[in-house]
Amino acid sequence: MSLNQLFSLTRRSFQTIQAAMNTVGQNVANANTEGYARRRVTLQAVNIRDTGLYTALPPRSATGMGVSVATYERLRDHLLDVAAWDARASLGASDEETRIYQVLESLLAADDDTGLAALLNDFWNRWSDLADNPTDTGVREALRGQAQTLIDTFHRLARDLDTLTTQTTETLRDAVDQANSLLEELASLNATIQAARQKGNPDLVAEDRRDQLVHELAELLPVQVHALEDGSYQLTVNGMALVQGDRVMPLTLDLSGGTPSLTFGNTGIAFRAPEGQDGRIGAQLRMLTQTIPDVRQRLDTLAATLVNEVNSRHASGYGLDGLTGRAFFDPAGTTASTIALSADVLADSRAIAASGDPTAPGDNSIALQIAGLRDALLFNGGTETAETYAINLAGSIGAAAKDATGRLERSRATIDHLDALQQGVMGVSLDEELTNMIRFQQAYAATARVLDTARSMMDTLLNL
Amino acid sequence: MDPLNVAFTRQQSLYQALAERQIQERRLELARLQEQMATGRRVNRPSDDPGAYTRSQALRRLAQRYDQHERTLTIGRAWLTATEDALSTLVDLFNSAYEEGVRMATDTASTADRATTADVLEQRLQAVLDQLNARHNGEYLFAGTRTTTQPFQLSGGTVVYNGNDQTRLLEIAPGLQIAINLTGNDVWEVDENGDSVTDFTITEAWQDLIDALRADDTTQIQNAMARVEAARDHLLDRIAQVGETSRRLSMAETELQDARLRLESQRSDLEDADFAEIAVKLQRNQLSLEATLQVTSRLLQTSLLNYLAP
Repeated sequence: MSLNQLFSLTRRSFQTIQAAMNTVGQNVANANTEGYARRRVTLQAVNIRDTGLYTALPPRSATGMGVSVATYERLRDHLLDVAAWDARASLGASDEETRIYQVLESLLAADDDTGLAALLNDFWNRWSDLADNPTDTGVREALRGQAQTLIDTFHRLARDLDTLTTQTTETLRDAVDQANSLLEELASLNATIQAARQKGNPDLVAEDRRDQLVHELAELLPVQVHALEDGSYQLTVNGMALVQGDRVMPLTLDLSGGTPSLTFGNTGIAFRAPEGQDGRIGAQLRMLTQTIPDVRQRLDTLAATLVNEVNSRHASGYGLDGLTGRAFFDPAGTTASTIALSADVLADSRAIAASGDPTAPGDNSIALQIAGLRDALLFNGGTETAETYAINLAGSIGAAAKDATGRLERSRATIDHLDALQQGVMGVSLDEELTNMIRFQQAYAATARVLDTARSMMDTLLNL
Repeated sequence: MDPLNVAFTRQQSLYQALAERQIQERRLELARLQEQMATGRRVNRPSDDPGAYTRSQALRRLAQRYDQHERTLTIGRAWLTATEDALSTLVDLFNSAYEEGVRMATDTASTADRATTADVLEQRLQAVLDQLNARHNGEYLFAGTRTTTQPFQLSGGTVVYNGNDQTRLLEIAPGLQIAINLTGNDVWEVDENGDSVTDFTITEAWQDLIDALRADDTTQIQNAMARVEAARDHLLDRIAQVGETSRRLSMAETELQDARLRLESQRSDLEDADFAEIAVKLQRNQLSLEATLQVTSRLLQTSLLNYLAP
C-alpha cells in the first residue's frame, strides 16, 4: 500500500463529506418547505476490494479506501402517511359540512324577529287581531301585509337555497376538476419515480412532490394509497383504482340531471363513501343530494300545509262583501318559492274571510279558527305546530352544524397529532442539522489534517 | 391539551404551527365570549346549544303570543267599557222615566201634565234607541255579530231588532275564549221571572208608560212603572254581567302577567349569559393568550443558530 493511496483516500473523504454537507444544506434550506421530507446520507467505509484496484485482497490487509456515500434516504413513515391521508378525508368532509351548515343556519335562524317562526307567530297574531276586529279594514291591511312578509321570507329562503346549491355545485365542479388533475399528475409522477428507481437513482424531489399531491387529494377524496414494490403508488377509492402506474381513471361529474352524480370514469359506478369521511367532494355531493334538498323539502311542506289549511277554512268563510268560497293563498303555489296570496285577497283585503255567517260581517268565527291553526298539530305526524316545525328545522340544522364543527375540531386535532408525528420523522430540525454540520466540518478539518500530514510525509520522503 | 409534544422537541416549524393554532383558538374563544358579553346571551344561534335554542325559541314565540293576548284584552276591555257606558246611560234614562212616573202617578198630576210628560218620554225614546244602537269603533255594540247593521229600528210605532243572537268570542289566553258582547236581545228583552221566556222588552216598558200617561190612568201608570223598574233592574243586571266579564279579563291578565314572568325567567335561564362567569372566562382566556404569545416568542428564539460563532 503506497503513500499515494492516502491522497486518494482523503480525496474520497472530502467528496463524501461534501455530499453529506450538501444534504445538510438542502435540509436547512428546506426547513420550511411544505411536504419536504428530511434527507439523510448514510456513509460506509470503502474497502479496497470495492474500489476495483485489486482483483484479490493482499494478505492481512485491513486498510480500506476511506469513506463513501452509501445511500441517500428520504425519511418518511408510510404508516403515518396513510393514517394522515385517511384523516384528511374526514377533515375535508367536516370542513365543507361546517361551512354549508353554517350558511344554512344563518339562513334559517337569521334573527329572532325575522326568522320563519317569528313571522309565523306574527301571521297568526294578525289573524287574532282580525278576530278581535273583524270589520276593521285597517286590521285586514295589516294581516295582508304580514302574510306578504311571510311569503317574501319563504321566497327569500328558496332563493338563498338556490344560491347555495349553485355555489356548492360550482365548488364541487372545481373540486372534481382539481382531483382529476391531481390524479393525472400523480400518474405521471408514478412513471417518473418508477423509471428513476429502475435506474437505481431515486428521484427524491418527485417522491416528495407525489406525497404532497396525495396530501392534497386526500382532502378531496377518501383515497386509499398502496405503495407498490416498483415504487409507484396505487390510489383507490371505494375499491376502484383511480391511479395505477401511469394510468388514470378520472371522476365523471354529471350535472345534467336535477341532482349531481359522480361516477368513476365511464364505469357508471357511483362514488360512495361513509358519511363524514367522504372528503370535500363527498361532503359537497351529500349536501347537494341530501341536506339542501331536505331543507327545501321541509320548507315546501311548511308552505304547502299552510296554504292548504288556511285556504280550506278561509273558503268556508265570508268576506266583508258577503262573498264566500275564496282562497286566502293562491292554491296553485304550494312550495316555498311559489307561495303567494290569492288574486282576490290581493285585489281587496275585504275579501279576507273572517266571518262564518253571510249575514253577519261582525262574526269572527273563521278568523278565530284560522288564528287557532297556530295550535294545530299539522306536522310530523301530528306532533308539531307550524311554529315548532320551523323552530325545529332551524334547531336541527344548528345541531348538525354543531356536530360538523365538533367533527371538524376532532379531525383537526387528529391531523395535528399525526402531522406532529410525521414531522418528527420527516421534518427538518435546524438544531440537528447544525449539529451535523459542525460534525462534518470537524471531519473535513480532520481529513485536511490527514492530507497535510500525508504531504509532509511525502516531503520527508522526497527530501531523503 | 396538546398531543403535539410527542415530536415537539425536534421541529422548530412545529412550534410555529402549534402556536398558530393555539393562538387562533384563544382568539376564537375570546370572540365568542365577547359576543356573549355584547348580546347578553349565551345562545345566539342554534349551533351554540341546539336544545336550549329550540326551547328558548318556543318560549320567545310564546311571549310574542302573550303580547297578542294582551292586545286582545285591551280590545275586550274597551268593548266592555263602551258596553257599560251605554248600559249606564240606559239605566239613567229608565231611572228618570221612573221618576217622571212617580211624579205623574200621584193624583195631583193633571191630565195635561201627564200628556206633556208622555211627549217628553216619547222624545226620549229616541235616546233609548240611540243607546241600544250605540257603536264602538264603528261597530254596533248590541247587534250580535251583525255589527255593521243598525240593530234597533222604530218602524210603525214598534221597535224591531235586526241583529242576531250570536256572540263574539275573544281569545284572551291560550285556549281560553270569552264572549265579549251582549246581543241586542240580551239587553232588550226582559225575562221577569227567570223562566227564559221574554215577558216584555225595555222599549215596550217605556212605550207602556207613555201609553199609560196618555190614557191618564193611574193604575195603568203604576203597572207601567213596575215594568220600567223591572227594565232598569234588568239593565243593572246586564251591567253586573259586564262587570263579571271585565273581572274575568282582569284575572286573565294577571295570569298572563304571571305566566310571562315565569316564561321570562325560564327563557333567561336557557339563553342568558352569566356575566360574572363570562368575565372570569374572558380574564382567563386573555391571560392564556398572552402566555401563549410570550412562550411562543421565547421558544422561537431558541436555536443553536443563536449560539454559533458567526
